[in-house]
Amino acid sequence: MSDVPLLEVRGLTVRIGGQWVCRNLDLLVAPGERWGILGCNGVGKTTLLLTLAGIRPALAGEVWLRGERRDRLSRREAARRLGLMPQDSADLFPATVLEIALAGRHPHLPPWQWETPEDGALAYAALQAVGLEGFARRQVRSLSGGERRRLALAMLMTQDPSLWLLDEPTNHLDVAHQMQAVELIATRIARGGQGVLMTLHDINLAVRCCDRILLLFGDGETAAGPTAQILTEPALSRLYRHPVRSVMTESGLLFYPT
Amino acid sequence: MQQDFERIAGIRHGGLWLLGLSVLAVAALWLSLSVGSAGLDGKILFYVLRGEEPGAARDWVLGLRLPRALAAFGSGALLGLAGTLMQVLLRNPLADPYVLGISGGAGAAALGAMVLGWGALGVNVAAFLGAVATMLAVVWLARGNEAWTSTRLLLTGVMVGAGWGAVVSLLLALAPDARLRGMLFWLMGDLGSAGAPGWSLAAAVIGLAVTLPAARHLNVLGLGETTAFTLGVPVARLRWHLYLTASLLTAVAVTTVGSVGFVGLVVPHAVRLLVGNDQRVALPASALAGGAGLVLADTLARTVVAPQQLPVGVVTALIGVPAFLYLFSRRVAR
Repeated sequence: MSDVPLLEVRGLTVRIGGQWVCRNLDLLVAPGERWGILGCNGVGKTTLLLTLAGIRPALAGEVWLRGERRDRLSRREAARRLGLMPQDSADLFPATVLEIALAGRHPHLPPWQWETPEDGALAYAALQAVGLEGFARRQVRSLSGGERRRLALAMLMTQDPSLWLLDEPTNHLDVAHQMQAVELIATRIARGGQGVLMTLHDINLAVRCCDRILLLFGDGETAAGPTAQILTEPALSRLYRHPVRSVMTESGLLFYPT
Repeated sequence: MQQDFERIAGIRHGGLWLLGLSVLAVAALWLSLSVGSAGLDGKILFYVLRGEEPGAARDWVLGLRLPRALAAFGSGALLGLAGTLMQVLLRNPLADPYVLGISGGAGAAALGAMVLGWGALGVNVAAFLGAVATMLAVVWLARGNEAWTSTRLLLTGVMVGAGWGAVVSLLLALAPDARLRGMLFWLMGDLGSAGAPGWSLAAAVIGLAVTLPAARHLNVLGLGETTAFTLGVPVARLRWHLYLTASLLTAVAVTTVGSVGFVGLVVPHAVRLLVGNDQRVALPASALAGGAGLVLADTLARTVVAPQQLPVGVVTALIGVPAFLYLFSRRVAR
């Protein structure tokens, strides 16, 4: 398993609303890797994630998951190899926190099978990991924005796909919970051999929690590689079209806009 | 913890609720067979149903009350089920089986047939064709050049429904006075002229049979289409499935009893408040609750001011509104 990449992107070209997201992008995500995707607002970070997940079509290119083309996998199998935590969740109908976490088991259960106590235990464990174990019976609509976000992460952990796509996972989270979520993701990935691709707005969070970076420049150009090589003052200044400087601190390199 | 899990997940709860609702349904049917212009005590009714009671009682129970009660049960089940499906499809708790204009199409066609003086069969066929034509037109218009979204579908359906509403008003204005009463009863929903109950009962059973296998998909679809897709739900196919099923169920119900209001809106909400939002329980529960509810409403409609009969749609709203508001406020206060 270890030498098959979790995700292999070949020659992917994506365009949305007259804007090139990426042109002829090649990307390999190996087990244990944590990729951060950075770019300006509207550059197509979410679009790229949706395209990788198969929700949006690409102009060209192929997406392979653990050695098989995504569009040749059954939906259930694809859902075991790739999971997505979207930016927002809209809860129109009442549901308990535990019910939502349990929904992550959907691709693992045969159509007529009810959730077993084992599935319930997995969902509880995931709620515990994000600090929501006391909320199991609460209505989802009574959660705060940050709690709902952590519940979305718990659902993804219950789904347990080999590749995690996270769309701004730290949105709505306070500083402590940002660090907690990022560390949780890092330890999970390190232990389970999954891979993660997450879009971020905070450069310094990316420095701390990602070992690889993908930059989307907005004209179809991309840059990908190890964090230290990619995150440089000139690259970030070009990326955000605003001068970005860095300073060495006791907790590592810190970037700031001038 | 395990007990907690089963309770929250509703595994045991669901079975008990379905059992309770089944008992309620049988009780409602029993009541509707025994009361009426001539009351019937339980023992005689029992003999009639076993086929051991010859004579007059047998004729009105088996010939009049039973078909009417079964038609009410079947149509109520259809409306409850279709309402639940529509709310999931449109991601809108205000949706009901009629929100996409299907009842408007059926109503305009049925009233047109009445103005032309067609018989009961002709009116029913016209209503069904009007409903199906509306269903196809709405989805075709909503599609335009792109994939139909829930919002486009809802807006198109509401517009088409408003158009049919105007046609219905026009027909009422032009219709000869002698036919007006029949037309109004049809619009409000009436079981006095309900046809054979077989169609609606069969449609309710088929409707449950084709939606229950997708019930867990529906639960996940409630979390949003993006999440549902990445959890392996065939979203596009499921939406077509939901739309066609809910529309056809509505068409059969409207053809059988006219556009009885409120059942399709209040039953899904009441069921959700009582048994939760797990569609594996909620779908059969809304069929049973809708069926039982309409049987009770029809029993009232034909007995409360006997020998006059009320349109059943009036009764469903008169009872349904306060019952729902009570249930709703109690739940919020808790």
